Amino acid sequence: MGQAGLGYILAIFSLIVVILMLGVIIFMLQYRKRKILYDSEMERVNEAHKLDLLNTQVDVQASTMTTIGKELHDNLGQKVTLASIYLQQIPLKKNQESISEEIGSVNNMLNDILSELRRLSKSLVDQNLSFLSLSDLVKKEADHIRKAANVAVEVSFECEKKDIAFPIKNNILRMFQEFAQNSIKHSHCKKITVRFDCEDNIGKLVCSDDGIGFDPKAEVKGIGLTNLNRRALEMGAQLTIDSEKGKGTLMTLIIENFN
Amino acid sequence: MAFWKIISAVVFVTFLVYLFNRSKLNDSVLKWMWLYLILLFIGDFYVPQISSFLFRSLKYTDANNVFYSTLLVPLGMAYYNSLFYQKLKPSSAKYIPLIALAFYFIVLIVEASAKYCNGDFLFLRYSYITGCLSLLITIFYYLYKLMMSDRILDFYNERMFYIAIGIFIFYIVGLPKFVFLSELRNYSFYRFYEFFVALFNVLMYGLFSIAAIWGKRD
Repeated sequence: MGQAGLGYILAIFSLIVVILMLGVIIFMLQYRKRKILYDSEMERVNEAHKLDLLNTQVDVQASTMTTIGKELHDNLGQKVTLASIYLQQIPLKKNQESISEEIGSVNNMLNDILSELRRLSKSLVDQNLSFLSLSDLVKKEADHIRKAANVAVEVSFECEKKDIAFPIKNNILRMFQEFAQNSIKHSHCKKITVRFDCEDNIGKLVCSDDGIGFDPKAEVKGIGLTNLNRRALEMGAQLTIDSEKGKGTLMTLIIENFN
Repeated sequence: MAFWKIISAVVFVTFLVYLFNRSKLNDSVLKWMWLYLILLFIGDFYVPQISSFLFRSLKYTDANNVFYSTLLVPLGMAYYNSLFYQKLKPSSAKYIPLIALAFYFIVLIVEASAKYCNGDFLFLRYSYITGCLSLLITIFYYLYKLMMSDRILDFYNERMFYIAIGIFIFYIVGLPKFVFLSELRNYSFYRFYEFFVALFNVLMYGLFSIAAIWGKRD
């Protein structure tokens, strides 16, 4: 190989080095372009998510106001009216015995009102949801169901994460409550099983019952299923409900980026 | 110490890295990298013994040339192409590595038959050039696909990215050395160039090790 041959090799080498450098520059430019697009997309998604959360908060507030209004009007208002009627009748009573009886009734009614007011205020300030872990909340709810509905509830929790974000924790708990309520009310089940596990950044909630089941294709009345879907959508989670007449119901919720 | 001894040591270290990390490699081809590396190490380190045993009728340098041309280089080409075949398998581009490999083997067979039948036991440079260029085209296509997909956003987690860059750089830098070895030896800069090629060879195995240790996605 003479000087000319060597010259060719060096020329080819230089060309390859230039192509390589161009390749690196193009790669970095493409990376930057995609990164900018990705960041702006993430920002948009975050904004949308924040807006969703805000809307949810407004919805929750409105729903709470409605509940309080209904409670005050339908329950406490009626009892106070009744107590007022009883009190108005006291001066008309002739003997001491019936007066004492009326006062006793009014007293009982006032005690009732007081305990209703306590219950209402307690339901408004639910400290547990903020401070307890998801595992404890689900177990507590399971205990409540066992006592209240006489249904066996099996809980299996395989997730060590303690710092699950409040909206996610709230939604998971509410979805379990919704499922349990539906199972107790409609499926006449004897046993409810709830399992939660997480790996990396993916959480999985599986709830099942041994009730009469339903046809998922049939039009279902009530807002239970709508609520479940709405909550899953809020979390960006994947919800599937499988059921067949006589074979119970299975609800699977897969939450990506659940931290 | 000669460059080839340093490179053999690096190959052995890379072999150990892949051997201990093979359980986390999900890619069915990549998890056999340890086997390829140990074969390469044995082939490189014991080349005089193996080549003189396999081709005992030939003289030492000829036996070495035949050993590298017909066994060690084709093994590397086949393994690297199968890595990219595995990577490009989901797309229709999976045929690129297969075609590249088939083309290389055809040229190898033709060149080996033409030369060895005439008693010319030199390094098979044309098949080597064909193999290198076709492998580089495959790698180029892989990098292009990576660049155009969303996977570019975390390319640093992609094992094959490091492997592709390592092979790409080393084969480009080393191509003239293996093809024009006898001619380049006469030039004064050859020693410096040889050092340069050895450096890039070490860099390639370094990138292979990075892929096994820090890569998160096959």
